[in-house]
Amino acid sequence: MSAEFAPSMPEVLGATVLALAVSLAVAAGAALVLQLVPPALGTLLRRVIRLVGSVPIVVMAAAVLTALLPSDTALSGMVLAVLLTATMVPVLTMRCDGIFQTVTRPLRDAAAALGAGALSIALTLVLPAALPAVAGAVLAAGAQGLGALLTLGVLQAATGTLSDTARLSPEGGTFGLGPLVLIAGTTTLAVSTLIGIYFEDFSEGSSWTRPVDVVIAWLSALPPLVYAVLLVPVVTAVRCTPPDAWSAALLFALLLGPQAALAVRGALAAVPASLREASRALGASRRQTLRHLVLPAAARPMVRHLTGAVTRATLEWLPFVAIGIAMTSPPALPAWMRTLDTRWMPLPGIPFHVPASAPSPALPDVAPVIGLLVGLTTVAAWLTPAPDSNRGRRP
Amino acid sequence: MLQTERLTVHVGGVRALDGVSLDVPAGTVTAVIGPTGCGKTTLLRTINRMISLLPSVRIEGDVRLQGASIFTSGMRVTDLRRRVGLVGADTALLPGSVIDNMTYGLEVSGQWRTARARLVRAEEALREVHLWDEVKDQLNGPADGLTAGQRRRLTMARALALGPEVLLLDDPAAGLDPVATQRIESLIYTLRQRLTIVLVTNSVRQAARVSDQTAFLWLGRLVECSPTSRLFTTPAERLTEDYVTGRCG
Repeated sequence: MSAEFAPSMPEVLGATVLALAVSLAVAAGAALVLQLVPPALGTLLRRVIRLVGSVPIVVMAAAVLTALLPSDTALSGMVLAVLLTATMVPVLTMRCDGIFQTVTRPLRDAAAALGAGALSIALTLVLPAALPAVAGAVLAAGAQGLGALLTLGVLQAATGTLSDTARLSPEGGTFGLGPLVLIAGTTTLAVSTLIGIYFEDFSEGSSWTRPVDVVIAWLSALPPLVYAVLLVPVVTAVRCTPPDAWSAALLFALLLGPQAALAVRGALAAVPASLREASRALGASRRQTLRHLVLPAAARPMVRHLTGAVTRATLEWLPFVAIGIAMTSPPALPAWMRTLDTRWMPLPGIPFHVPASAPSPALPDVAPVIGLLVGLTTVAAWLTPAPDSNRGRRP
Repeated sequence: MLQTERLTVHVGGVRALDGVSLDVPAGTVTAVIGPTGCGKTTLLRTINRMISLLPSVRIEGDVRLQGASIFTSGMRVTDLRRRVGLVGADTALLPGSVIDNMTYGLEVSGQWRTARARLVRAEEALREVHLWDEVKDQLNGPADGLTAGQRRRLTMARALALGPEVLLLDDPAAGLDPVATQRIESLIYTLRQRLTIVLVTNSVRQAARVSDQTAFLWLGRLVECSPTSRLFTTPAERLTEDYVTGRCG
């Protein structure tokens, strides 16, 4: 790793563990408090937390870096832990609250009817039931937060291993970057929608759906940094050309696809199983039920979820493309972006920036970090319960 | 009309039905009684194959509708469900209006191609369940604005509109007041003249009031099936007598 990238691998590991522990305590505590406060206040707080938590984690990381890190601070392990904690807490609180909410109202009412107080319900009923999902959320958020923070530094170090021509070129491809990404995004949305529909409404009873669920959750939780760092050498090797606009489009598709599939499934799963059952009992086929009943009912939330997925993927994707463009073809950029690499990527005081002329680390140097991110994400995906699917609950 | 032959159904590894052989004559009401969890609903759901869409279901034996097995490839499951309608106590209303609920099945069946034809058929079915006069002015209003009893009759009308040969009723009066229950029972009495009905009920008295024959299930097995008057007065099995007299179950 670059000499300017201060934390060593053990420091990154230690910072991650420390940040995970602190974030878990803070976020789970905050989410539990949300269960206990009066409903009106809880609704208000949830809106605020969801607003903050919905900000893509890479944007949150950039904001935290800019806001919290004094210009002359080197990125030590402890600083990384603080930054990571600040990045993770909002999104983690939102996810913990969502997980706690899945413990159904009848279950809470039953406990209350037996004399349990709000706190004891939260501690004895809600928390134990939600523990595996919370652990999964913590690890996923940790991986994403760490990935997002390191994106701003390690990616540059990684791309620095490549020759200048191996970086993203905006002229690449027949269509140019914009149309190409539009085509990739549209195609990905269509394919992901079909995949989401298939898994939610056509795959019940298949033994391989759970592993696929895990893989999709894993892919969607994988930090963009992993895709970006691994994509460049893979594309270079496969296409025998330097990464170009095609690579950028492929990166966008990879970031969008799993998110979009999950978004579609989430919207379809929200349509009550009883409606499908009523339709099937009236002799409607699965396809008719989907077309006449499920899709109309799910259309609005599906559009809302997909818009969120596209926004998130775009915001995750933009920094990488900006890096590539800024470092390779400044003249191709509008004037305000020409100094992007000096104005934004080497954020004030972050000694990540590796000048193009300086010696850079090779890809194997960042492999431990990538391995850590992939490992965290894998465990998180395994711990995360399947989406709240209708599969198995309905005839 | 309808026969089950040594019907055994495993759901999620649990044997829900165990070798049930039942003969349902045409134009009769057959009540199925038994304690909770004895397999009554599983039996109904197997007869129109709603059960086979659950994961981990294994079915042995056969169900014959007018002599033809319902499990053969020649029997399309969507056609079967139109011929054998199922109305459950928890059957959901579809989103939209009363008339949307009525015309949905007609539309997807493809047999009533024009909107006019579907409306006419819907009106006939609503009249059949004595609901037309109550809802004719709110056909385009939300279906979930109806009372519980009206909703139950709407779901029955919805199934009847498709012209089924057999109607499966899963505790149709569950949770209803005595007046609404009496309406449902009168309806069953009227429908028996042209339909074959299988009625699952948790009320022994209701079974005695409306059925021609009664089947008693216990732990997934058919203990006894005989004409209702005989089963309630001189049951062949001691267990049946204990159940109908309230000494067990």
